[in-house]
Amino acid sequence: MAAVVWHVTMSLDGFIAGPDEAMEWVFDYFSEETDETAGEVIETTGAIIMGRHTYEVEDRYRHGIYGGAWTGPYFVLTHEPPAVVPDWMTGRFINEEIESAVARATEAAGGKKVGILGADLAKQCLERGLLNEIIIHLAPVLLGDGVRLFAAPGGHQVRLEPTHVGRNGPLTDLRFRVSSG
Amino acid sequence: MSKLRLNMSMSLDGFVAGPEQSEENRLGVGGMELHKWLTELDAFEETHCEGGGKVNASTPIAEGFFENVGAGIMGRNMFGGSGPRGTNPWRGFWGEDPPYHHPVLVLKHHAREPLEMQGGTTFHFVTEKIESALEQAKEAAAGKDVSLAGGASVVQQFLAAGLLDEMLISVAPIFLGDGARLFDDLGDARPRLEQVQVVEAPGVTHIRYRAA
Repeated sequence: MAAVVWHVTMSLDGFIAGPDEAMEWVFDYFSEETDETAGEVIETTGAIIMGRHTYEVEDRYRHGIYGGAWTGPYFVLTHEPPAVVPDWMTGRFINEEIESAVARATEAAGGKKVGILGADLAKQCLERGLLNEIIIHLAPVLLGDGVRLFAAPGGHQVRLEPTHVGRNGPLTDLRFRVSSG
Repeated sequence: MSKLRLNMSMSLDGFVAGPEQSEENRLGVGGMELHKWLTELDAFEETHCEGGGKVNASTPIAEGFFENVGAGIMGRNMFGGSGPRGTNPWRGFWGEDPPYHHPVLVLKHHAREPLEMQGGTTFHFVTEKIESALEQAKEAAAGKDVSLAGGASVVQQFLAAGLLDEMLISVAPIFLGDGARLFDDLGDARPRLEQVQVVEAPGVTHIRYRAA
């Protein structure tokens, strides 16, 4: 069973994207192409799953996953796959339950890890016990508003097991294993 | 140059207290988890009542909380609000020997006489703006730093006004999902921060930021 990993950059106030899904701030703090941790994640990821929304935001900035640094099979979960798929797109739109999508991606990953992109999908994976690892680059910035890493109105405690802490230039890298049960 | 410093424990998703905060459970559901790293330390004894027996990478962090601190600032809720009806004068909920051992300025709506406690802590009540409170605290600190004790809304006011010089955030490996956020209501203020220190310790990561 391949590990399912959520890799994300977060502001100190807990946002993974700013207002209107702004992502420019991420590029101020690091470039995935040169970063060691991100490089390792790119190297060890065999397949990626993301939501339709995340796909559109990713694509709005730069074509390709990790700006083209990562290539491989990827799956975009949507209830309404578009009739015409862009010819440059190397991934697939799929309309199915998350469990099946994770199983599909695990097979496609060929023994490597499965990457999850997007807070909403990651939270659903977490709630269904499908997420194994979280890798966070914590940036010294306050965004004030935007998309939160984790939001569960009414509260929902999730205990994580730290496996690595490292200073990475202006960022702090934090890696966690998701405790089962 | 006297600095305004903050130490705060926060969940990975940004909360300093869980949901359903009440008089009985001031940290809300799951809030105590954020302070576990501190309460299990032997060094906890120096600033609070009883140490937890452990010595680890968090020890120098906890010992440094009040190092070179000459005065503190806190909000009225952190002092203990206005107290139960009929308690006059209300002496806060920090006990007769509060853990501060320095003058503490309490931001309050109504003026009252200073309250001298045991062990060197004196509460001074300030009704003026935060800028003026900071000025008075720096004067009281006599060249040493000023520690911003909290709570979250007071921290937000100082942050938004760009008055905070240093923050030591202790990040606990837990999601709470809801509760009181440390960085909230900042309006359009976007203080620039620089990460200056990262300390890995059992059950917590300490990160020190300086205003850039």
